[in-house]
Amino acid sequence: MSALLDVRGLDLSLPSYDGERPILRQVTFSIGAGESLGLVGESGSGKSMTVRSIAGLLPRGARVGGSIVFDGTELAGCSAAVRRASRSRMALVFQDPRAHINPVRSIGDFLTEALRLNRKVPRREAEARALRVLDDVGVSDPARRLRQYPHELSGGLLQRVMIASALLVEPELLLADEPTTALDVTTQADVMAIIDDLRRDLGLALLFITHDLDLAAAVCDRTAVMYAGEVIEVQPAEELHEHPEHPYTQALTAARPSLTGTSPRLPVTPGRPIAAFQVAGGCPFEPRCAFATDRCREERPSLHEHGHGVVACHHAGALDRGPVRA
Amino acid sequence: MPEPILRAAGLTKTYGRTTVVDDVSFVLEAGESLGIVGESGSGKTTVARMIVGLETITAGTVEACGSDRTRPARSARERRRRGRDVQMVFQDPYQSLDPRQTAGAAIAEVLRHHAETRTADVARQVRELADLVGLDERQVGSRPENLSGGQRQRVAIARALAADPQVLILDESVAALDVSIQAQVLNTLADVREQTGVSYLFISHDLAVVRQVTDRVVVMKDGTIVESGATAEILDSPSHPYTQLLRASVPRPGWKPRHRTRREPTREPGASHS
Repeated sequence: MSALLDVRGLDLSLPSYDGERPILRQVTFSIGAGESLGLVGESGSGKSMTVRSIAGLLPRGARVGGSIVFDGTELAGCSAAVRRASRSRMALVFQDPRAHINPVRSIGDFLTEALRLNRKVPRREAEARALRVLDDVGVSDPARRLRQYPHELSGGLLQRVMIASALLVEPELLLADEPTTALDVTTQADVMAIIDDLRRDLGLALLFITHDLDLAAAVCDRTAVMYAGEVIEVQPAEELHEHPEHPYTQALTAARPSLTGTSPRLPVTPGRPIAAFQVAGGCPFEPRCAFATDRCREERPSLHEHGHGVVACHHAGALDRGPVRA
Repeated sequence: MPEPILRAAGLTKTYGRTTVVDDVSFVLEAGESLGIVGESGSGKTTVARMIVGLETITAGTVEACGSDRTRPARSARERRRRGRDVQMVFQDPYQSLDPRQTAGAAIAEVLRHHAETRTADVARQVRELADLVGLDERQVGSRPENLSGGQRQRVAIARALAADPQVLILDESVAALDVSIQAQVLNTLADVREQTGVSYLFISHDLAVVRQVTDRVVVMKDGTIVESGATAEILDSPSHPYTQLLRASVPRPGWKPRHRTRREPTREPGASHS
């Protein structure tokens, strides 16, 4: 299967007050047509910057290395025309819908603007299409919604409007950056159900960013885990949830309290996540890893095939799957 | 049976014609950890704010450590006593600390105010509290801008404990933390309760976290309590349909998100019961 999106060796650095800072290092993963990939990690691990690199929404002065191939077209360092063409085939949904919608324009204006201005679709037809997608994402009484303003809608409803607007361009790839993090669990279940249905009905590929391993395991085909700007493990979602191979993924899985039982103490990893620019020569997780050896301090592990996926750890497979040191 | 450390009876809060908390009653026993679970708009934070006196109470009573605190405090001395009994830790460690104050100074301020600690003892007690919540010496000397979210939340917890309270109200206090840091702070909370015997009123939307931290739980929806009991029992076999929905909405492998038949209403401030 040829991938719809193929990210290989993606490096990103951004200017800062003390020179250039690496943000992403050798990020590598691919998504097939119609496939969903979860991108999981803690704050600062580079999840959002990976999505922004793919969408071409990087801040000024960003330096990108490696390759991002979308359906056969190289996007890293591409021209503005190529970027525009690719952008109409991928759509973005962000965490906070209220930050990405103009509060003084009606929902109808918001949904039809791009169609009318960029694609010269007549207003009447644009509105008909907006009504259809609102219905698709389960918004009741869509005709009334078109006349309403963002402040009149709840967060869950507004996030559905954002998903509807993403669908209006009929994308092949949906980039969703924590789309349900700000929502209540019952609303999250609703929004995820809508994304899931659309994905199956329209054959959409999905890059789903979340900090919630359980959610990724529930809705994605495969999960990629990021730490300090690198992808450190990719596995089929349920496999990763049940049998994580990388010590960091193991620690992350163990640290989450359980819904079905308690332990007197949660197994914790000492220290806190570091950023890509703080990584010394070796494995980025080495300072916190219970299994670290001299090799981990000196040699940076790269992703290699292991089990059902890939993992960047010198000791993958040799690790005892017992609890990480408490 | 000893008197409960905190008792809320028939607590009600209305803004104009909108009722946001409606006849909420519960007790917190000494040394116990009680969870309040609910989604946004369920009124759980308003309950906490009424208990500490950040909101006036429309109807009902609150009693903490054997004294009534339903009406606003009449004197500075009364306010101070109430502050000593019940302390609160908020959700956002980026907004709840003074950016100009070091962690140590923030803790010392509360010690001087509440515990009437002799100046010579303040430094020692700051060290003890920092130890208790797992802050090292460098962190105690740092301003919030140089501390991570997890460290800031430890400062907020130490600061609340400096008043030597009987009850600590934690309002979504670990919600903003990353998983690995959240686990560290949850362990710290377990240590603190074991060592000081303080009671927790733990407000959260996260059922797994609530299971880890609390003994009993009340479930709130639209300003009222729909179910209460031992945390393990409520989460393993919820009897109210809303608790069942909450439980079923938590993602897990093999989970199939499903639509609710009910459509989202448009945004309305709170629930109206008029």
